[in-house]
Amino acid sequence: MPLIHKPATELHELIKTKQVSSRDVTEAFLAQIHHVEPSLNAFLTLTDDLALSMADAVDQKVSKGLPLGPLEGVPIAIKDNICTENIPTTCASTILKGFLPPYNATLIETLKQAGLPILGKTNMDEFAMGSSTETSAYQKTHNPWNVDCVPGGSSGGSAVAVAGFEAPLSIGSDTGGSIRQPASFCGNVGLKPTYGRVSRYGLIAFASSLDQIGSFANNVTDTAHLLNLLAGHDPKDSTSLALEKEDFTRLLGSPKKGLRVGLPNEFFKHLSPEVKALYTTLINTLSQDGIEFVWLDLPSIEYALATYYIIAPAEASSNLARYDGVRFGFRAAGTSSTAEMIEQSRSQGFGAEVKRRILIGTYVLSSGYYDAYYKKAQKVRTLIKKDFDRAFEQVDIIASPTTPTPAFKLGEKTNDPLEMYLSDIMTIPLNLAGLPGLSIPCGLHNNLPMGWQLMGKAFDEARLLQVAHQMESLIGFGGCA
Amino acid sequence: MISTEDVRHLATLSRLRFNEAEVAQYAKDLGSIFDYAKALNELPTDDIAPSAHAIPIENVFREDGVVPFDADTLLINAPEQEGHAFKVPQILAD
Repeated sequence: MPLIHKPATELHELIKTKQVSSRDVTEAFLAQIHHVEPSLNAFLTLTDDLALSMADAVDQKVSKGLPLGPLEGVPIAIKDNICTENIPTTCASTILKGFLPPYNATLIETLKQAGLPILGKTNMDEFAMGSSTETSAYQKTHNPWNVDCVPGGSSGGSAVAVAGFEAPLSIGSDTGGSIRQPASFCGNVGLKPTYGRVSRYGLIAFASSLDQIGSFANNVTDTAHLLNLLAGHDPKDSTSLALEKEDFTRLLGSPKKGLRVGLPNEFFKHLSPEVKALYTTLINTLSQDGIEFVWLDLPSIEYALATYYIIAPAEASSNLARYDGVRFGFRAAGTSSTAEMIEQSRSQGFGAEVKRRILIGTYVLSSGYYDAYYKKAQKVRTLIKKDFDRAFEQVDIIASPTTPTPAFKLGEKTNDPLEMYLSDIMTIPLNLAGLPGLSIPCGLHNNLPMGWQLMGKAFDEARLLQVAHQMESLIGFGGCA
Repeated sequence: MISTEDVRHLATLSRLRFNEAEVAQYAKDLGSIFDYAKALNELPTDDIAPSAHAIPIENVFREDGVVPFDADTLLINAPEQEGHAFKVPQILAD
C-alpha cells in the first residue's frame, strides 16, 4: 500500500519505528498534492517549506532517540479561516486578500508543538458561509469521487484534501454542518466536538455561539488521536472550558454493551425512497449486531433550519462589521472619503452570499424586528436544546443520515439560496444545541458516498467515538481509491 | 415581504452598495428566506427563556495588563500607512 493511503496512526508508527522518515511521508503527500491539485483545487496556499522543515525536526528527534508524541511527524492541512502567522489567511474572501496574520491560532501553536507538519491552507466557502465551497472568491474545489460534483462545504477543501490522499488529516470548522456535511459528501470521518472543547482563538469568527473547530480523517481511530491534541482549555478563548484532560481513544475497541441509539423521526422524513432504503438496510444490519434502535420525536428540530438562518446571520453581520478596508489588507482603490472607502471596500471585498447574510442579520437585529425574529429564534433554540436533553434521557447516542442527498453537481444550487441551505437540514440542530457529532461513511448512492451522523451528549466525545468505531467496523466502508 | 426600499435601507446600515438588479435580487431572496422563517411562529414560546449560547458559560475576568506587540508586524496589513499609523482618506470635510 502506498504511504498516502495509510491512516495517520499507522504513518506515525512507521516514523516512530524508523521504517520511514517524516520527510518521506511529507514528501509523498506533497507529491500527491502537486499531482492532483490541477483537478481538485483543494488548497489555496501550499506551505511545502514549512512542512518539510517541521518534518526534518521530527526526524532529528527520531535519530537522537528522543521519544515522539502522539501523531508526531504526520502531516496535516488547515482550513483557511484559521490564522497562521505570516502565512496568507483569507477565509476565501477578497476582503482578506493578502492578509498576513500577526499571530498563530492556538490550534496552530498546538500542532507546531506536537510536530505535525503543516502542508497548507484549504479552500472553503467565503467566511464559511455555504454548503458547497462554491462561494470561495478564488476557486472551485471538486469532489474526488466525481469531479463534476461539489465537495460540500464550507470546509470543502479540507474534506477533499483527505479524500484525495493529499493529507492524512485536516482541520475544519463547523458552524451548521461545515465539517460533517463535506465529510459525508467526500466519504471520510468528520468530527465536530462539543462547543467549548477546542479553543477558537485565531479562528476567524462567523457565528461565535455556533462555530467550533474539528477534524477530518480516514477513520475514527485517527480522529480520536487528533482530538487528544486539539482539546483543551485556552485562557485566550473565554468560551473554551476548563475540563479535566481525558484520553478520547480509551473506549475504542471495546463495544458498548446494551447500546441504545435514538433515531429521530424528523430526520428521516425528507429522504427520497432510494436514500431511505439505504438507511433502512444500514439500521437492519446494525440491529443484527445487537445495537438497539429506538424511534424518537424531536418536534422542534423541524424549526432548526429557520432558527439557524436567523441566529447565524445575526452574529455574522456583527462579526463582519470589522472589515472596513483599514486594517486587514484589502482596500478599494480611488475613494475620496472614509465613508466611501468603507462602503466600496465592503462592496468589492465581500461576495454575494456573504452580503446576503449581512443583510439578513442586519434586518433581524434592527429595532422593530428584533423580538419577532432574533429573540424568537433564541427561544426556539432553547426548545431544540430541551428536545435533545429529553432524548438523551432515553438513549446513549442519536443517529441520522448526515445529509438528505449525496454530493450534488457544481452549479446545481447556486441560484437558489434556500435550496442550498436545505442541504444542512440534518447537521444544523447539533450546533444550536452545542453538542458533539460526527459523520462516518456508510455506503454509496449513485456511486457517491453517504454519511451516517452520530450525535452525543455534551462532552461525551469518548462515548461518541467508541460507538462510531464500533459501527465503522460493522459497516466496513472502503476509501476512494 | 421585503421591499426594494427595505433592501436599500439595510444596505445603508450595512455599509454596502448595490445596483438596481442586485437590490431586486436581494429583495426576492430575503423575502423567501423570511417566509420560510415565519414557520417559527407556529411554536408557542411565551414562557421560554431565550438562549444566547448552548453551553452555560460564565464571564471570565483577568487583570488588565499590557502585552507588547510589534507595531511593524501589525502594519504589514495596512493598505496605506503613515509612520506607525493606519492611514485613511479624509474623515471630516474642510
